[in-house]
Amino acid sequence: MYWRTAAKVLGIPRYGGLAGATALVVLTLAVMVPHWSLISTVLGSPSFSLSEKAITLGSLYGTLGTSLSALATGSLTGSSALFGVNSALLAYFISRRRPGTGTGVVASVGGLVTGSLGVGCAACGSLVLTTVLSFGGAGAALASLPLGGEEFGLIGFALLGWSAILLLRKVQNVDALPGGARHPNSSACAAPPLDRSAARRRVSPEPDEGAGQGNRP
Amino acid sequence: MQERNVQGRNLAVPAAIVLAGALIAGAVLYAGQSNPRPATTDSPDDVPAAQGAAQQSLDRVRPIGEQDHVRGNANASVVIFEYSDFECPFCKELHATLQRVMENYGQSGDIAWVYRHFPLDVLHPVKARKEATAAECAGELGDTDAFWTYADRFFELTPSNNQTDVDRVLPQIAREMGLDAAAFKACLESGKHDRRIESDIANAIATGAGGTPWSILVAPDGTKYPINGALPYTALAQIIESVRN
Repeated sequence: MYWRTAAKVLGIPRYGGLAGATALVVLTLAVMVPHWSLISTVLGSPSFSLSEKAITLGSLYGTLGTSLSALATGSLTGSSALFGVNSALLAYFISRRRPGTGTGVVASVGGLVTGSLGVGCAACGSLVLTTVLSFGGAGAALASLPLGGEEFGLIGFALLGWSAILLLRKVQNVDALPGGARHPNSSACAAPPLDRSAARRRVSPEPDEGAGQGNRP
Repeated sequence: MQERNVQGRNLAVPAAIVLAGALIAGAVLYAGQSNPRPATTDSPDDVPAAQGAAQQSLDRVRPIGEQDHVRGNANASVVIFEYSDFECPFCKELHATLQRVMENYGQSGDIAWVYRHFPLDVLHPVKARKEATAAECAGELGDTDAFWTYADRFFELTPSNNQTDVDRVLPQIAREMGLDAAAFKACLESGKHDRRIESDIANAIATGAGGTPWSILVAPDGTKYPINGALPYTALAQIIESVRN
């Protein structure tokens, strides 16, 4: 059922666009960060015309195939997409002005950070985790992991997936409320108690098991 | 009381977003500015490099010397210094890319490719260093191009990630090249190339290398372009075209 909710939210051009743009930004950051020194040198070089600078930067997306393992490329691309979806769901949810998103947000942030840690050439050392660990001489610890540190990318992917599910649940709940709109004093007041059975009756015309039980004499 | 709790929950959303932004920005800045020291070295020479600015670190690249392995014109206007580990899969990728670069740009004499060793002992214990030694031994025992012949063939055969059967593959390549097997074995065990390999490692670290492959492209105007990892051919070709023109 979650995919229907996700499709509904992402089908709205504003949120679909936000998801795509956010995913592209995250992917771009992950691709460009390891090459920041090169990028700054190229951008500051008079040898490159504007179009040559653009072509050089664009060609760095090719490092997804040359500087990352297939697993790292998959987890990075998937994490970027999931982060975009999380952002869109969060924006949609916030637009409904319902409090209590803490768990989903924290999971989303945790997923992104963990995913970022695991991104990159774990075996040969290029991005955040290796950067941090190499200062402490802990590269051996990273190397001793079964996947050479790529576990972090997978954990990040899983956390983002979990976060998306939590957000989808909240979106379903808020959409099931009467009107699904903001409370007049939502910035200072708690949401009114959730009357799920009433909400389901309004949303779904077919008989609902839970509602039926609730109305049973 | 309940209202205060709800306000706290409301604050969790923007606080988490701000925290995420700060973490991402911090990671970007940190990864972009730092030149990490790999766990492979305890040389005191690399300490100032790790602390210095990136461009200052790049200036520490050792000029082409007699001991260097150079493919192409040693006096070329564009020089690519590559610091490589024979067991690193991305070094294998970059090796093929640089072969293609030399095919397309080497004929003009405008490009030189300098191979230097940076075996990551922590990640690829014993094997990477032994393979570097083997390549040096091939260069010593064979003709002028023997080092490159050995390196090219090794990268064709190795599965990378410390999975190479060195006892089989190294003698096999030496045999294919027609090298003296006994002399090759003696050279491998002699340790005579250890100092040279250490010198390459020290220079890699001094220039800011944090992993492999690590390369520095020196343009005709002296500008040094740091290349972290295996760039795709299109990126390298564009940089070469731009700096040549």
